[in-house]
Amino acid sequence: MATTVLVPYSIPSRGVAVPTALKLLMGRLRPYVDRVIAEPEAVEKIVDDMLKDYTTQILLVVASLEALHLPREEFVRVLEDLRRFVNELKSVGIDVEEAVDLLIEHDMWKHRQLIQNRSRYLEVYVKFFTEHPGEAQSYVRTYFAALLLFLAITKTKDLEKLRLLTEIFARYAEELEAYTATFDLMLSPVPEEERRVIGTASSPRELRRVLQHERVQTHD
Amino acid sequence: MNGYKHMIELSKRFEKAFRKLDPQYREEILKKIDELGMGLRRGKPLKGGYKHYRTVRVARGKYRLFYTEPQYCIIVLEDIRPRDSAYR
Repeated sequence: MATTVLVPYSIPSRGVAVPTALKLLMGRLRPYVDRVIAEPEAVEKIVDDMLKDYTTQILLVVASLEALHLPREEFVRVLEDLRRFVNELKSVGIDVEEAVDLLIEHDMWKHRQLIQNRSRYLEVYVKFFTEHPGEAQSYVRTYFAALLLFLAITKTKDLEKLRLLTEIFARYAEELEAYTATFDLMLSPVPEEERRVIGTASSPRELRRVLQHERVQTHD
Repeated sequence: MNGYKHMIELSKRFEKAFRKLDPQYREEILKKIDELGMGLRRGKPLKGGYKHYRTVRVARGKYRLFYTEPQYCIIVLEDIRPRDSAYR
């Protein structure tokens, strides 16, 4: 699932022409989003149904390819709109900022690798999917659950429902972070030589001394 | 502030990455490491071949700290990297 940059385009955006496949995809996802709104706790079952939908899968692939050719200015504008949306929710007491950030980070990271580092990125992806099939399946579920929950949040006005969706969305976004960080390390592992331990600390003061950090604010 | 519950070990990579950080974030990161050392916080385990790694977001979410726990009561600070987020 090399799908990328679906999240930024999932909210209504001003002055940005949403590419065709993305538009079609969002329409195709709508029934699944409606089901998530009706039954947020069943999101994984809904994702499983979505993943069996052949047309949706084709649209996901095409939309991802389209996204690779979007100019940077469009991203910037869409992300500004996304921030506005997050702030609007915050003004009514719904905080999705951290979770949205985790989801966007995941999408943008994949997007950047596909643009700048494609062969290495695909190598990492294939390795993860072949060596850890169970976790790969969980990853796909987690990613699409987070995506559908986010889309559900953008389509819901009811505050109680929004609170529930936000809570579940945050859980999946947090889980997604573990995959983002794993892929990042797989792509750029720390060379063995640099993993060598060069110092130890058994207290805050010692840690600061080892790192020669001057602003010691501890009282040990 | 008392000593740590866990011994903190610093890798060459972590030390190098830490020195490159904007000074305004360093103390915040150290405080987060203090919490790890005191056992007040534990990072999120990674996946696949990196299951033995854990990560925590630090410096108001601008960076991600990676560490391992090779033995009971030992934490090895492996790396610290900026988060890839255009949204932030």
